[in-house]
Amino acid sequence: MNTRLKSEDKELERLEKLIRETPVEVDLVNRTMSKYEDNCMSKQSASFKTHKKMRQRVIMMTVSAAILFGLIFVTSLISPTMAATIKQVPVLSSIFELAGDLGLKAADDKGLSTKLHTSATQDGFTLNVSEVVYDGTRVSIGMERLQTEGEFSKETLSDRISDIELFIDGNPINSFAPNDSNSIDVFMHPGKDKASVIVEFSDRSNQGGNSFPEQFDLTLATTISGIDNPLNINIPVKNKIEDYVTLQPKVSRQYENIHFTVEQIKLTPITTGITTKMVLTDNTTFTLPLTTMGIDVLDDQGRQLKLINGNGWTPSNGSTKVTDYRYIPFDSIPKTITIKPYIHLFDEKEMGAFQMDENNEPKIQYIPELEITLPINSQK
Amino acid sequence: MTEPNKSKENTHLVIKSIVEQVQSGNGQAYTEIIRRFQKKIYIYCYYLLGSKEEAEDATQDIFIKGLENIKSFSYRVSFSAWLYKIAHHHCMDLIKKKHKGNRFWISFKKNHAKDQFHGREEYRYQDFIHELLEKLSVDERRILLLRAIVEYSFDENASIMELKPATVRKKYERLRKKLIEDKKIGGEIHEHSFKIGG
Repeated sequence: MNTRLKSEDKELERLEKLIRETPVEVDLVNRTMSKYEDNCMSKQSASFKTHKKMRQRVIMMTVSAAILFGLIFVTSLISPTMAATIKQVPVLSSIFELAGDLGLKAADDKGLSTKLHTSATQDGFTLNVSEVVYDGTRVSIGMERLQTEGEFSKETLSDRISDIELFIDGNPINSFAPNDSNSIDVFMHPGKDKASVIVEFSDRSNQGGNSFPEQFDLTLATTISGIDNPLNINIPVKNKIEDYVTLQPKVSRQYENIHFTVEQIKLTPITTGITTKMVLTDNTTFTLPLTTMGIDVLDDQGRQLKLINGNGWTPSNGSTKVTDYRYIPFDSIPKTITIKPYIHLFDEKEMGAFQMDENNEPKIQYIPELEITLPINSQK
Repeated sequence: MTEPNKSKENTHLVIKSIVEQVQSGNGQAYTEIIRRFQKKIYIYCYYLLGSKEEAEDATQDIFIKGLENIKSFSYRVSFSAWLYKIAHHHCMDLIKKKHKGNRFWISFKKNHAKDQFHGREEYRYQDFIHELLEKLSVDERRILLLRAIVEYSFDENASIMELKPATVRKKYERLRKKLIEDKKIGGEIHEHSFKIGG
């Protein structure tokens, strides 16, 4: 019976330890006790509760107004040229403009996105798609709920969405996936406020899947928790980008048993897409810390791009990993692009816990032997 | 707040005396119960329910239920087993309410607006665990969580879940296979939040 490998048990023990030692600070003592007292009181007096609800609503409205203002202010700090555009931000400003993703903001500014007003309603809940963009790397959809009052307004839209199924020209998106287990994930990023969200997905063409067509009809079947039937919305999607820069440098570095290759870099005005491949040359499988390896991407001025999302895939033999990373775009095409692979540093005493720096961010360590700098000769 | 083995017996006695104080009307003593168990209960709820907000609410409600019912608690089981049973029933109710039918787990990753102010790597750590847990059924997930968080034996686990110990053992074996196989042949997802102005 006991034929399994010792290492397998260790793996599971380590996962259990990771769960047990999830780095969270929990202090719910006072909140729990006052909630308990509130519960007791509300049983005595129903009117007290309604008063309290009203007060909460007023506070919440003030807070969301403050957040919106804060966003505009901070964005203007990022880019001085924003100062002019801020004046032009209409009252009903675009989700892409304010969501904090500089690629989507660029899409909105340069007119590369498509503005829509397509909605669906079920049981009084109206979902509206207001903007979509496709640059050949990612499809991003700005979605919002139209109610401003009532029970729906309390939670963020992303909390209410319990599932999204997507169809391209009537086919499920996973018909474009390389295989059953490397499925196409749908990401949800924060929108401009609680009532909006950015839904995003990419094809797996760098990992053996099929590319999406340049132009297609997209169906979103969104399930809202508490509402029985999904809300179906159809929107047209078109890749409006004419000039990309695509490089397939296939430059590699080797460090110990890690063979690291930059397979492809694709620059659009909206996304910097980078595909890397890692091979463990001794045929071992990926374990910590290598499973959490990432890359930082910098231009010739040392400016670092922010990661939007990405996905990695380890094919069946377990010692190869192909990863697609999607970063925000460069302001202009840089002279060079530097890729700096890093690993996370794990606590020696507490296995599975990250070491934290003074800003309470996990510490990383670059692997300089794997660093790659690529010259870009604006070869269009 | 893990106690070294030596003082385990001692901890039981301390908890017993706190419970007796609460039962005899000293509600304030219950704060010590919350302090001792809140992190574990929170982690249990977090990995079952999937979001921080829900886990926070559920943790509070579980402790409130505990306080409301503490008079009916007797030492046929340990206090912690009793508390996890409440947690278990509470989470199951929430999951049932939330997902009608059998669509339990959401097939895509959420990125809450709140998370944008947290470190990107912190997200990745928990995402990694969620990824793995996603491959398990609700029962398997509960078994793994109870074993991980409370370090319960199969027998204790079975009594909380109201199952036979042999069933729990069988399910554990199955989940172990699922996880180990999936670790070798599996995808991985990164999702990073934006930090505005950061």
